[in-house]
Amino acid sequence: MNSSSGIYVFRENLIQFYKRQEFLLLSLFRFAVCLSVLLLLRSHLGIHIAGGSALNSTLLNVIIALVCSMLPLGFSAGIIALVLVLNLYKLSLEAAAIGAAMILVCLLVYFRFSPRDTIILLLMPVAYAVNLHYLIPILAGLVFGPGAAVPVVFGLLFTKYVLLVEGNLPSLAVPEGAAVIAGERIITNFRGLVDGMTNDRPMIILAAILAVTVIVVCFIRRLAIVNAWMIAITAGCIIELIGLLIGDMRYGTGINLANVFVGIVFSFVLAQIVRFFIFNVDYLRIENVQFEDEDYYYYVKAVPKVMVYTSDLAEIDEFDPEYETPAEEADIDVNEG
Amino acid sequence: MLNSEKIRLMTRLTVYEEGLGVKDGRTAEYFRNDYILFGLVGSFVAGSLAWGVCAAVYCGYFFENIFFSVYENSLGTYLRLAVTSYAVFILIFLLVTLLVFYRRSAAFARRRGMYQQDLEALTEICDREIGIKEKDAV
Repeated sequence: MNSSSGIYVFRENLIQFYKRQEFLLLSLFRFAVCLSVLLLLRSHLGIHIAGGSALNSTLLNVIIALVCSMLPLGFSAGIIALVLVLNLYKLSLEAAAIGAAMILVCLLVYFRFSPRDTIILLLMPVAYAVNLHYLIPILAGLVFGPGAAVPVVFGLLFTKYVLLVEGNLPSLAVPEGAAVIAGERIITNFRGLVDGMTNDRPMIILAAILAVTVIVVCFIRRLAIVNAWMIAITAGCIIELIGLLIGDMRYGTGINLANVFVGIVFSFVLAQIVRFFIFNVDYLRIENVQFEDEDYYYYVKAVPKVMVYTSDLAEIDEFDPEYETPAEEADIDVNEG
Repeated sequence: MLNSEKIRLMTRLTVYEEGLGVKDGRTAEYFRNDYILFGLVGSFVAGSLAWGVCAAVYCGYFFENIFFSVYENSLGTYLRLAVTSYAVFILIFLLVTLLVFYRRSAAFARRRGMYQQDLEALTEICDREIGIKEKDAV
């Protein structure tokens, strides 16, 4: 057995394992994603709440993530959105109001049409935390449609908003000894947060680049060309890299080039791994077929999937050169018409 | 003896019934035009709410200006802006909804057609099998 077929055997085994344990693995995945988002919320917002908060409890977060793992993703996203607004409310009324408004708009405008894309929204903050947010638009373009650009952008907006609130906490906090919440202070904080979001040029440029990446990746992936997925992933990475460089040169966004480069390279590698598992075809064995019926002529290009049957491979591994097929044993000419 | 064609058809039918068929079952409750109309009505409500939320944030941001405009009884500019933005937003949103629901209903009709075809093919196979069994019994 050579090394390349070994990889295919590993892939087949993994796919078979996934098929057998689909429910458990999906629940585990949902649990991991929800717990990561909740812990990120705690580390960025929860720990800053004066006097602590029940939401800071690790046990409570694990329980919430467990509940989320058993619910459809839409409900899980709803619960996490609620936790986010509660955290924001404990910190600042204005921050909670803007956060709730963003969630409501996202829910009403987009998720009415495509609730299954919620996973992108949940994955974005997790990916951002590990500098892999360049991967999400590429995967969204490969797996979902061009409409996935919307949750990618919203995911980035929510992530940046949480970071903005965390960065503005000293100005948002109620001053010591202030008995009542002054109206003027609320308006100032409110404006500060809205300005912080609308004037954040790096974020706007990044959001635009990620949205374009989703659309381009999706467009190339659907083309009837050889290695469409590979080209789509490469094009996505190049768009992100060049887009961010141009954004930095033109608008002085001040990106950390090393971080961006490392993030995009890792994203490329991970996207290739995902491609290997969900779209693995053999372009060397393309077949072109042409046929017709009463109404149409059909020109079909069939690209075979790379299929390896583990039991067959085991047999090939122990190939016996002396072995004769039943037809050979009976001395029958199989090529006879 | 196992009939591989029958098994293939039954598998395909089951996959559809347990997957997209569940969603399609709900869509099948409506006529095509009603389905699109309900989608548009839902989008109108959702879009109005979303616009309302955005308008509230805008009002919060320009609170002082709006407050003075109310005080000076010169809300005309804001009202014009509100009506124009609402009309443009709702129109675009309804157009997108129309497109999405139209495509969805077309995809639903295609899937349903294929399902029907498979069902008819399966019925034919079953009828043929029953005919053979009856003939054998006679």
